[in-house]
Amino acid sequence: MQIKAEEISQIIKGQIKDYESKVDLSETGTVISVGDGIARVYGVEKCMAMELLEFPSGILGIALNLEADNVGCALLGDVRKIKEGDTVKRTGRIAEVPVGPEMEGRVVDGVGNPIDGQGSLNAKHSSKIEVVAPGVIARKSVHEPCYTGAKAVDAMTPVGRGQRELVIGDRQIGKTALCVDAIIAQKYTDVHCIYVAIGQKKSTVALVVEALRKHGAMEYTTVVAACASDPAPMQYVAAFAGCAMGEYFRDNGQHALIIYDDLSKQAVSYRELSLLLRRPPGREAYPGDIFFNHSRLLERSCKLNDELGAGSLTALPIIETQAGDVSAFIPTNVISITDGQVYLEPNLFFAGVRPAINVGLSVSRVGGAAQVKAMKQVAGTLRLDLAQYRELAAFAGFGSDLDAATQAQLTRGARLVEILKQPQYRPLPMEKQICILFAGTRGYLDTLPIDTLAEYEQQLYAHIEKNQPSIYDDLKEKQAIDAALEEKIRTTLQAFGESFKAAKGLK
Amino acid sequence: MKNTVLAKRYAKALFAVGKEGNSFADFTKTLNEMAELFVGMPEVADALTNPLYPVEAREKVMEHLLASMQVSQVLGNFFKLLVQKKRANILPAIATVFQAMVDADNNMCQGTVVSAMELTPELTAKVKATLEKITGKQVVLTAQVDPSIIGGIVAKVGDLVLDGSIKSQLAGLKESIKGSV
Repeated sequence: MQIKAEEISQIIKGQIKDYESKVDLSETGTVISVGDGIARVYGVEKCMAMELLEFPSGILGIALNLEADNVGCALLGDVRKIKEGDTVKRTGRIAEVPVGPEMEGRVVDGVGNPIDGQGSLNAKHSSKIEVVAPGVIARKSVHEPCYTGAKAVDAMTPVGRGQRELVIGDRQIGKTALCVDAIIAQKYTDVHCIYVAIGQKKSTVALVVEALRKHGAMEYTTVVAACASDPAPMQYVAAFAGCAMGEYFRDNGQHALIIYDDLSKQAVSYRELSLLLRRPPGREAYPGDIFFNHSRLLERSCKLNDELGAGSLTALPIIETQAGDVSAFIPTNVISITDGQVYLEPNLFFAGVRPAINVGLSVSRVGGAAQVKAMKQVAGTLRLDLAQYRELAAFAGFGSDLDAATQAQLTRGARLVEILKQPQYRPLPMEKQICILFAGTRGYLDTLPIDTLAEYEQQLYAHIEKNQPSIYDDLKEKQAIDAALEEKIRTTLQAFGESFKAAKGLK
Repeated sequence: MKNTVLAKRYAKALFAVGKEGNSFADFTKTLNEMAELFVGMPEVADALTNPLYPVEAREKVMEHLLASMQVSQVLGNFFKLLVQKKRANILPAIATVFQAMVDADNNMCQGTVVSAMELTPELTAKVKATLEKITGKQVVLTAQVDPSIIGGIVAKVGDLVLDGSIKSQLAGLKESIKGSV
């Protein structure tokens, strides 16, 4: 793009001509002390809670503590430019962020400023970052699925639109990967996505954005990034800002999925903020309202009733545990707030089970209501089968003499574990998941060696697409397996199983 | 950090005493004089607040000071109490708070108007009338001259600032050009 010097002076000329000189009436105060992302301001007597205050050189702050003789204020910008005695202006606005369809495909910071170098946002709407969650009357129970694309999650801990499903586990075992896959899985749906990165390395965020872009998922995704180098108030506010962006879709009858990556870092930054504001510390030095901080945030994810447009906001908050300790303060809090959790385990991860979901500890309190009938039909016994398999596998380690029934159960279990494995960035649509789970739970894989199953799965999808595409269409349309469809799937699996064995030279 | 909480406590007590004796004018005048002395002559402030000198010595200094200023009995006791309680350092803050309390009682407030050149009496009266309309109180106006604002005026009443200066308008223009290009 080339700009001529002449054009620039024209633009500036126009600006000067249109500039309205207004007498600026404002209420002011002065900075008493500043440091660590916190400023104390004397004056600004009529200041409201959560109001934005303007500091010199355009830095904004949020009024958090209103005290008898001063206002405690979290700064959303560079602290170094602010001095004692600086004048602070009231803006009269409660903290808000730009929202709307214009945000999609963009990367913004914790207060909604673009940081992807693609120019201004041009968002037509803005919304307050702190909003009270919809009431009881405004809601409806969660009843439609929001597919994450991961077989293990969609089959055993299904997530519904409007549900809050916690993803919990140690560092480096695929929490973010699972959630990024969930975003990519929304490519052919009407779900808008928001990815909130809190307290992460900039390089990690860049990798996620790059992955999303590569898989064509950035078109419908907004990334809110408050990185580790951003001040604590920014990291605290980012979660609420992202939520406000998701609420726009929810309130307009659309569907959105928001990922908070991760809420433990948000809790840590809120602790920092609270201690600097001299609020009394409680357990693990977190402030008394740390539970309320998370509950009011997650309560905003919900399914609205039909009069309000039946929109939904699904949340996948992430919590990082230290050495698998789920009974620490923040994990227990968030477990109790959410509608279930997906628990990722290091042992499984290093044993090659990826995603490393621990089936026993993962639950979804919404349960079957978030699954279509077909999925319930194939996955109904899956959880039980796997539980029995684990028990038997531990037991079978002691001896070699096993009866045929036990032997069969072990074979089945090992194959089910194998088909629940899934490579990264390859989320599967519901119909494909049902086909492979059908094959697994109905015993079509029992005669195949375990190490051929990954290949079997890939070839099966291609086979159905080529020879029996009506299976996919029927599943998508009816969302249930009736007698005719079951027969069709059975014959297809039978035929494919034989040709696969023949091609592999198996008996 | 300003110790306004303490200053408020002392000012409130003095205000209550002043109300009984109806001697606000005298109190305000003396307090302001004392505060000016504190700010204008650091030696005096030092002599009254420096913990290196024993309290008795500091009390003596205050007594001499009071005698030379011919302060009323009540106010004299107040100053002595301050020295005794080692609170003489907040005297200027007390003066400001007390002034604000007396003003609030009389439905008045202090205002300043800053202009690039000296204002004519008519203009000052006009500014005063406008400020009175906005605040709904009687305004006692002090005028200041500051050539750095280039033109226009800046009027302040308490936390409220009416900024019509050329300087801030130029700054606004700069921001608007920066924001759109």
